[in-house]
Amino acid sequence: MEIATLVVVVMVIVTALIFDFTNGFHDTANAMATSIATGALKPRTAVLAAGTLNLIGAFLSTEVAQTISGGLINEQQVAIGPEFIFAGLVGAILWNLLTWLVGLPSSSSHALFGGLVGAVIIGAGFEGVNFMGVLTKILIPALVSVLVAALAATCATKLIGLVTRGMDESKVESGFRHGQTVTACLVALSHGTNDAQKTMGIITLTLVAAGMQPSGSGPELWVVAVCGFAIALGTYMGGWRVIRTLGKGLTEISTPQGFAAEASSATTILVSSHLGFALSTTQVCSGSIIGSGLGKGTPVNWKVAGRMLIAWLVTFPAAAIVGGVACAVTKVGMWGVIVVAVLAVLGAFIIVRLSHRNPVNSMNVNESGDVKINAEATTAAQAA
Amino acid sequence: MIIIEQEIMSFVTVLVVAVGVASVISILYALGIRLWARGAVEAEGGAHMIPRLFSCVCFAACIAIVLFALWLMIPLFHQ
Repeated sequence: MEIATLVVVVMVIVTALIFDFTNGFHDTANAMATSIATGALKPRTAVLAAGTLNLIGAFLSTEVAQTISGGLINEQQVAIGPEFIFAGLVGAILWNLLTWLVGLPSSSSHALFGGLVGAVIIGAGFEGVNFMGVLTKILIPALVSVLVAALAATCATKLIGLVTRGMDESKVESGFRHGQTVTACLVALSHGTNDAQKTMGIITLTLVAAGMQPSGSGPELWVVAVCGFAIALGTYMGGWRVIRTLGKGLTEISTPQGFAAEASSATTILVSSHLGFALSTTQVCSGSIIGSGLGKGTPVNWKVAGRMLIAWLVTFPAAAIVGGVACAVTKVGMWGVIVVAVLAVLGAFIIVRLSHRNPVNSMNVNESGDVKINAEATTAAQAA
Repeated sequence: MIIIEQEIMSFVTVLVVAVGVASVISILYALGIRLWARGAVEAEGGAHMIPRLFSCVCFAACIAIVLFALWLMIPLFHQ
């Protein structure tokens, strides 16, 4: 085997695992933000539970997809080489980190597919991309998932309000605490069974393409294990900035609302994945939180919701641009790959440094509803 | 066009089933909590067995839905 191929394969595996980590990191909020906000679970306990369930989920479901892009790229015409995958992953990782910095939930799978599509457009031209697939698998579901989840959560919250009308508020609150924990755990488990698979698929298909594994075989045990651990570790680290936005920024959540939101998310995700209708977990969960606010009649912060919507619409093209640029550089050869890797590490480092200016962690996650990059404004407000 | 039609159909299915299931489980759980509170033992020692029994039925139904969700989620069970 050529040394250059080996370097690229190793690079892809490493970046795939980093992507897996950021995926877990970004998506902890989906399952646990409401439980943390209502105090049903302590912040540390919540992320530990979510991390463990993601790990279990990864081992439970190891049936990887046959294609990397899930029909977005005409894989019969364009062979998705490891350099495309690498460039796509770099785009997805940087977009995940950037949205985490500003505390906005965004879909990791949209970022991944965006990065891949961008890399393919630069690497193989527009005919490599199935734009119909982009429309039906990315754009329409992005809008639909919010509507479905929001409607389900609005109905659920309203019904809970009707059934428990006139009851002792504190009894209702504590009763729904257990239900909220269980439904949140279901969302975390389904995340593990869905999202860890994507990275397993990428690594397995890369190994197959490099001739290191027979075609058509499932993921090796070590691939399952490292992917599971990467996503679980990311989940445990907790993207606290996103957790704050979802738990506190959108609307004030009580435990019945949290229950309604998580139950709606879990059912929407399960039903859609069972019908082969690819909805994004992130958008579903954000939609149900907004819906639970609408159902209860608590004010929804539409400014934050609007910023989120913009982030969702921008995710795909933004990751595509980064992926495309990365692909253009990797075309140079092995040195190009190394340059992209160094630049990506540098970019990630800058974003993490910026996040230290105003850190959000398990201690202060519930203190306010907004995530600012610079701390000055908040400290000034506290002093006043 | 056929693809779009199929998408709309599956969208409607997802919408109906998701709203339905989320509503049903919410009603069951809320009813369980309400009946459980009603079934509390009084200071004089009078117990309300029937509300408490129905409360348990509601919670059991919730558990059944959660177990079904787990069954759907884990491919091992239905291959």
